[in-house]
Amino acid sequence: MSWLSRRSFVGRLLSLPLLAFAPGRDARAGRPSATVAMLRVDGLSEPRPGVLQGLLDDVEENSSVRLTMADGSIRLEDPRLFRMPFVVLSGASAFAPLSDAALANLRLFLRDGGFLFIDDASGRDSSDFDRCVRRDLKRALPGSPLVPIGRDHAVYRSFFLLGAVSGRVMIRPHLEGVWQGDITPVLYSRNDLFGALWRSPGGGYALDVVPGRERQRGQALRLAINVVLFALTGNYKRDAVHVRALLERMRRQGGYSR
Amino acid sequence: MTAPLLETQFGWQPLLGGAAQVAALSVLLVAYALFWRSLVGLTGARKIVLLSLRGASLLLVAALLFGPALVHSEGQPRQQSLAVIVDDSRSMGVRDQGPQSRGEAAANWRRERAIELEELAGDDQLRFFLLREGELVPWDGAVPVSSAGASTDLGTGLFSLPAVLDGQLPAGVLLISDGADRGPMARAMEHGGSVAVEKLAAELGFPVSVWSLGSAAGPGDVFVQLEAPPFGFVRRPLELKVRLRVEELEGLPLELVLREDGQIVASRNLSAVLGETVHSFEVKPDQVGFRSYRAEVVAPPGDSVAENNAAEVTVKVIRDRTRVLQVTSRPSWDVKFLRRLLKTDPNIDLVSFFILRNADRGGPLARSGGLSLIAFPYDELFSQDLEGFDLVIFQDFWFGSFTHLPPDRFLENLAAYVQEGGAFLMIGGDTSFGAGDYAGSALESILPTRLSDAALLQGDFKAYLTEAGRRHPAARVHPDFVVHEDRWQGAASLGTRNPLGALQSGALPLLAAGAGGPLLAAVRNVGRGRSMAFASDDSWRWGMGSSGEQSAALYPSFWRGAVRWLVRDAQEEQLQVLFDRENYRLGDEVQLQVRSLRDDYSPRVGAEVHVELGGLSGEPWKNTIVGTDSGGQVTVSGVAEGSGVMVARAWLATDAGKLAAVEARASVELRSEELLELAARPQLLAALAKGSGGRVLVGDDPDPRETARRAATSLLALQRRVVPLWDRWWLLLILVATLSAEWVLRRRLGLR
Repeated sequence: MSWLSRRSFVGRLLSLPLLAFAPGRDARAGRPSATVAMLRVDGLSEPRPGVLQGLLDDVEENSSVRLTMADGSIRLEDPRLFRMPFVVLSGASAFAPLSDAALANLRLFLRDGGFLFIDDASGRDSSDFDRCVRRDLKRALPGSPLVPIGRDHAVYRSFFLLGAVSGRVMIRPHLEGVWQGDITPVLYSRNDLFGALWRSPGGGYALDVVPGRERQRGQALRLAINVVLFALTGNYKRDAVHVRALLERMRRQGGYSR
Repeated sequence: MTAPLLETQFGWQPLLGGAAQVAALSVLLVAYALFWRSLVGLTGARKIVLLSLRGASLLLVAALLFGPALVHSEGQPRQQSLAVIVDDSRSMGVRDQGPQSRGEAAANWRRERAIELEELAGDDQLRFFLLREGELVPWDGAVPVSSAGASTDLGTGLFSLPAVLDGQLPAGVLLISDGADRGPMARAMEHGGSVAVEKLAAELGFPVSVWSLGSAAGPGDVFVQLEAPPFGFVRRPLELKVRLRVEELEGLPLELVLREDGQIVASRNLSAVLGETVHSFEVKPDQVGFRSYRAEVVAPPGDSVAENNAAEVTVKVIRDRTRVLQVTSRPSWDVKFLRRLLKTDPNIDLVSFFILRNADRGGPLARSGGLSLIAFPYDELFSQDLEGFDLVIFQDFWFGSFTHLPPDRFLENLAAYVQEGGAFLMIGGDTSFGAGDYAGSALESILPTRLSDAALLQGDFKAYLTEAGRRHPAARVHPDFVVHEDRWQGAASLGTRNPLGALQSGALPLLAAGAGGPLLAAVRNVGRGRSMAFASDDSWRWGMGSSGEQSAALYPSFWRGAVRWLVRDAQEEQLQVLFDRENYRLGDEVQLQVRSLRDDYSPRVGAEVHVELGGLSGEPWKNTIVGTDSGGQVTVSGVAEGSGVMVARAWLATDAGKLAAVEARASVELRSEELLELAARPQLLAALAKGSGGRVLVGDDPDPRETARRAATSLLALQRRVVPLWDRWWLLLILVATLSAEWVLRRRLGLR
């Protein structure tokens, strides 16, 4: 305590009772730590407007993360894309093939650490949106196909420990993803994940969730929060399970005794 | 000089050359065989007589062809040498011959027995040799036995004796030794016993008599050996094994001391136990480089050789994988990008801890359970585990995000960790620097700057290298200085900045927010460690490709360079000096590799580098100035002239003084394996004498005239005369007679 000035000491003394009741989200965490943007693609309308902001509010309420929405949606050709390493593409219909410039930017964006989450809001097993997504991802990343991701993926444990996928509907029992080495820069849900979270202007949920009703909606919210945390933490949770073992190993080697 | 001697020997004067001789002999044999066959049907005495007559005839023909002769030599017996060889290995320095050493006993005996030695020699030449590491060195008697030979090799010395004597075999050899051999004789004894040594000795061709000195039981002695792995890892336990062998001194109190670079790091009080005992020590070298360890025991009373009471070894300390601890109170793009970079570096073991939920345990959904979170083991991390990491990164990290308790103790631990050789990096964010309540803390004392209470500022700016930053390896983003500057000029702008206070003592500014703007990044050497401050959480922008490849390449190269500098990666040193190995013996040649790099890390060609080679203290043995070649390198040769820690120092001289001085260390061992076993080996010497036809001289003062010697058979030829035997008339007569007799007999028998 020798380094404490009298002023600091008194300040700390006075703050102790306050700390006990201090809000977890400290005032100093007021600035969003990251920005998220919706992708705008020619010929595609946003099927669940406002849902992303609501999700970010839920993330902020339940975790240490505070994200903010970009002002308006962003096109892949826009250089501002590289200031927002997390973008979301949501749609329910076909869209025009992406331009070469858009594909080049998408390729660069994903290579350099960007993350793209795609949500098929059509609720159909075979949708035009799905066809267009696969078409353009194949053009952008010809050597990296969309593949189902296993339950051991970090997205299932990035915040909540989840055993299954969820959404407004259950079209696929898994998420799909694109792998680049050890990283999954693209995740794709076919189950209208945002549809389960979409609220009407009155505040209630806008769409029914089938077949699992409210329980399925709760799971969908958890999965959506996990997707956001995964975008920020990557595979942190996957190796976090190894951290203990790593620390134990280091202790056995004696590297810690002081 | 004796009178000339006549010697007659039988010899040959062949009529034909080598191949023709063989052909002629073959023809004679075939002729005899054909003759034998022609006598088929003939039996008894007649056949024997005919065969004998034909045989005699052919033998006489052969004699004519091969030319027997008598060789008469006139001359005198050649003078022979008689060698007295004294083992001059270090074991002969053991003082177990009363008050004197084995070597001194041999030297004194030689003086006192000079007359008998002359009598032994007689007309032959008496020559004295010292046997030193298998080599015979003439000894004129004036020089006492030095006992300086590092090892004993009796076999090599004895087999080389004829060559030393101009190709002559000696008449005899008297070998004075303790038999503590380390060469072929010892190996033969080890694998085949006395019989193998006798067999080997029989090949010498001259008798070797022996006088064995020393006790087979060995003298009282404490022997220390130190074993260490060839290299160790920084801040990892390194096991050193001390092998302690005690002879004849059981029960004596001993103090075993271990030193690291001259400083005592451990000591143990022991009671001497006969035979060998192993004592393990664990040390933790705290920095990359070379560490010299010395194990020693103070010589107890009765210890015959003090020289083997200490052993030294130098260990090269390297970094295995850089272990980095990254902690953050709030995941962000900056956190994600740095983690991604460090995680994909194969040379880094990264342990990340992200605080994903606040101290109030989150909202209703989080409180409902089912979270995958684990408790943040901050108490362990910042109390026990720090030393396991090479670098600790606080990235937007605030203790208040997970505990209401004051973190004073942890911050003091962190400061001590850095002072003792660790590295610390603070990266900006809402809860970093002053905003993380670190102002006035122990942590501030090790940071490069004072801390400001001001909160994070927002607004785009470009990072600019300061003058110090342009040259500093922590900000180096490319070996080529032009590319390095281009990358910084093309860097994407940043959007946040934590205000920093004034630079602390010894700190260097690296980056400024805008040209001539406020400080953005700084570094500092603190105690034995290093620290760095980077006051923004937007460096991830340098890693995204929108600003072009130069900018995208800036991010990984900047942070990798910063980490390398923080953890003192050897590659970041601009001047390097390396020994060709870590452990030498006294007198060994030493090769030093010196490498010099410019500020831009290109080779410094033609640089004048001062190089010193010496001990830890005192005047250096070698002091030279050398110029680097086109690769910025130069090799300097020297000799390990002193035992203990050997230090090579190199520096570049400028008007401002020494620049980039570096040093490397190695160990020089004084003793050799010779002192591993001090007991005499009379059995080996006895087998050597027996196998070679020599004798074993016994007692403390043996008579040299008992030395075995072989007869003088060698002549110095003065004249040689050849008398042929084949050109006698009676030989021709006998040939005619045998042929005639055979012809007559065949006619009478009715043969053709």
